[in-house]
Amino acid sequence: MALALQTFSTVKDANAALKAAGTRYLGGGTLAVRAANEGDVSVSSFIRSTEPSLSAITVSGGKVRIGASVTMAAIARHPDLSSLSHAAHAVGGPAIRNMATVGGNLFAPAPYGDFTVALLALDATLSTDGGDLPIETFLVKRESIHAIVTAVGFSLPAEGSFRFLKVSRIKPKGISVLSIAAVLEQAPDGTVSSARIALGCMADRPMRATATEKALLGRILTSHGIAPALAVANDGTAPITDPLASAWYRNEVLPVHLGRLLLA
Amino acid sequence: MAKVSVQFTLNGAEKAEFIDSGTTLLHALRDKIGDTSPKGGCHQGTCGACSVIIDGELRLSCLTLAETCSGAAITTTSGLSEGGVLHPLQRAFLDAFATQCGFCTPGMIMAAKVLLDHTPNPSRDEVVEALSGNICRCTGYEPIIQAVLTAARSNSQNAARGESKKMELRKSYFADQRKDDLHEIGQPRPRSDSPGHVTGKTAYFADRNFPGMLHLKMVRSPHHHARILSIDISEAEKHPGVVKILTAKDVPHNVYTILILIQIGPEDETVLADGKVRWKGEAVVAVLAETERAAQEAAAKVKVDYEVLPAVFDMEEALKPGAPIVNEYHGRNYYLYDSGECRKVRFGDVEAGFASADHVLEQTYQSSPIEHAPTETTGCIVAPEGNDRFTCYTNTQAMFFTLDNASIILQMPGNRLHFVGGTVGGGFGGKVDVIVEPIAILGAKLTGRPVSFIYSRAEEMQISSPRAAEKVVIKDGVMKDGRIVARKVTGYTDAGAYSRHSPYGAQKGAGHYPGPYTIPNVWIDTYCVYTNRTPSSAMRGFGVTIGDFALEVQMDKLARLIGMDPLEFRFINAYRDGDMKAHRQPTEGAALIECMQEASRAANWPVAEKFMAMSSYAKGA
Ligand SMILES: Cc1cc2nc3c(=O)[nH]c(=O)nc-3n(C[C@H](O)[C@H](O)[C@H](O)COP(=O)(O)OP(=O)(O)OC[C@H]3O[C@@H](n4cnc5c(N)ncnc54)[C@H](O)[C@@H]3O)c2cc1C
Ligand code: FES
Ligand code: FES
Repeated sequence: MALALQTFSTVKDANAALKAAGTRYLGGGTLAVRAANEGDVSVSSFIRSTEPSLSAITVSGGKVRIGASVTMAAIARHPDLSSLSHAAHAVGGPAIRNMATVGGNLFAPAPYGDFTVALLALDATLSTDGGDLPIETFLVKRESIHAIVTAVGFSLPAEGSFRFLKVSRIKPKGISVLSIAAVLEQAPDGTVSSARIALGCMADRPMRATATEKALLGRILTSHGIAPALAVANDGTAPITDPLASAWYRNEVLPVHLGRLLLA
Repeated sequence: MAKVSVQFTLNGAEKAEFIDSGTTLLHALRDKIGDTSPKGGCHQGTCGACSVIIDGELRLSCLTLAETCSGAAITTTSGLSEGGVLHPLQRAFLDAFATQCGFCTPGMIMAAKVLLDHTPNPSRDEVVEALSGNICRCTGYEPIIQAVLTAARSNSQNAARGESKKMELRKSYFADQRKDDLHEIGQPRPRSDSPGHVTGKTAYFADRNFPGMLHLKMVRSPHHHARILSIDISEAEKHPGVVKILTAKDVPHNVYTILILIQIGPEDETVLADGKVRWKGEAVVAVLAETERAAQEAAAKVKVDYEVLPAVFDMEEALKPGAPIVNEYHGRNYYLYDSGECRKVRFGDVEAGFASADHVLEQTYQSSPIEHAPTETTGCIVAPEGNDRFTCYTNTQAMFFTLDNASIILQMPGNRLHFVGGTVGGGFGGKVDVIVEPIAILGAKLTGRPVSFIYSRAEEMQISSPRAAEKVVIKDGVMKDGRIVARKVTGYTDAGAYSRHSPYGAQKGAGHYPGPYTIPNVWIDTYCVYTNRTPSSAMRGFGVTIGDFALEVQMDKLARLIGMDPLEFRFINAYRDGDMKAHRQPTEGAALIECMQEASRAANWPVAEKFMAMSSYAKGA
């Protein structure tokens, strides 16, 4: 079957079209078209929707809503999202960022999905026509989700509480060896009062570093203070092995980079 | 197939086309509209050669579906120069030698243009960032970065002109050896192919499209070593769009070896696997179809039944008795030279040399295969002509070599084959094997239609021959005063499953050791070994480069061992005109001394005055 593209003005119609066999939603196409070019013949029809809300960013009352078709470049240059701009900037080179969407990033397998790591730390909620679901629930079952994700929503992190680090071997742009995002809140005495930490490439999809989060509570961000958290950094990880790095290497360097992020 | 209409402006001109739904913008621009300035180097978003500007934003045309661009304004590199006047970026690329093979250049210029449109005076870091999605395998990037900075500084076309950077020729060396009265040789000259590169006008083999052209896709072995029990093409043959499927029995002279042209046999490689596969990725069945997609779908329907055999990946393992035999045409896991199991050089008495030495140092060096990764992948397009001849447009680096081998494989007189080469989008030695042309010509012959066979990026990286893995054992005897008195080298070249150019590579190693040094006692053995790995072949100084890495690391270790400056240590041992080489050829035209003198100055690494006064050809000095 030849490849075809079907475009719908509403998400509803696009969702209906996606019920047919051999269909796949098309975001920016950086992974989907690439797969077709490389001989993946399982998809015969790309479906997309041009509904304007998919391309909108709204920020009001500390709440952010980013439409699924918004690109990394659009996030990186949005004046109200400056705290997230370097996480969006971490995806690909300039041309990729002009094409890569938030929606596609949510489905990108490791070593991709850097921005999703940020969204996981931010405890984002995903919207579909069938209702909302927390990002963690989504990540567990994303293979079985055939509905279009329409937007991601989250609370804007407090000033200075969001941290992001991508480790790659090629500068300035390279695929991740690993990525780390953290939302850390500190009490007036400097101790950590809440921590949400997400890791990329440490499993086949972004994961929470729950043991590290727990071990950070009540600690101060000094090398001594974070030592117990680093000691459990590898809890539950099952990193990928790819041409950039082996699973063993990723596990070895995770505590080093996590330490740098926490002490930054 | 559903046709859709698309309308956009391309470099200011209105375009309206009917295209197949799902066509990428890259294909629409190149194959339908005829703007071949965007290049397809990977079709996976990695190389940036296909970069275009859509509504002011940099995009990859290989990952953009053309129908999503309706109403857009598209700019490509071919639209930048106006009335024959180059854009400042094009001018700067030309002047700064920022283009070599030129395949990445149109994409680079697009990325740079978007940068300068938004940031007229970028910092160096901003330039690097802006170009970070574009790969260049030739220039090393620095000239490109400099070109973009120069274009930014110039800011106007007039200022950009005349800033041409002059190549520096250091003529003080060997001044008394030549007259220097030639008009072209010895003069800095702009490269004649650069204007074509920076305007996107240079024609590469794939920049042509024939009506009715078929696409060839290869079914490849998933195993390193296996017996083929059966091949079933019945389902694939029925697949819509399939025109022809080829297996070993269709190839007139299926077992070949490229160096047979210079009497280096035996023929040991199959065009399409027959009975057995010897490396993972080996070509088994060729599918020819109306579209790439139909060929891919049909390829997935070819059924091959294999019995997996034990494989050997390590040269030492392969040379052990009882190792699985990789290639029955050799019957043993090494190439049998007329000199025996290896190429040999014997000069002086190496054992006596070691016995008289103050120190003996033996070290082992190893390298992995290295892929050339040219930005343009290997490929050819073949068009049958009315007079029973075939024109093959190819990016081979070995035109007549390929023609002659194709003639043997196809059992077709050479005068029926017309090979057209041209600019190669990066080769580095990786495009000298005769792989795509014979089977594409056969396809064109059996179908009577033009055939395109172009490696995907994945094939280029995993199927095309890499530089061989090598192992080099060097044993040296050295005196406290710095003289090397004996050198014994054992070199192993991993040919992979088939010979290709590797017997020659291993022989070149024998010819190259003991390196550019005069040593009185030398012993060299070089082996060409077969394993179940991807066949290796030529790459920039193959048989020599890895040897040089090993030799020069060894030189540093020897210098350290005797507590001598490593550069002075090399001056002491450097070969000079008149010295007898281990191969019993007197040295002629040596220039190592002068190179090291210049290196000493350039690197600010001073050596004793007596070394700076030495000469390669005036022995007294
Ligand atoms: C050269 C290159 C470099 C890259 N570098 C990086 C990098 O550094 N970091 C990184 O994270 N990624 C990287 N990527 C991967 C990819 O570009 C990004 O992950 C991107 O965000 C994917 O988005 P997309 O819109 O292009 O997805 P698409 O390719 O359009 O889609 C990907 C998948 O998601 C599904 N999908 C897309 N949108 C939706 C939606 N709204 N609802 C439901 N399903 C949807 C599609 O059906 C498809 O299965 C790179 C890719 C390339 C080619
Ligand atoms: S990035 Fe498009 S062809 Fe390489
Ligand atoms: S000039 Fe850049 S790839 Fe050849």
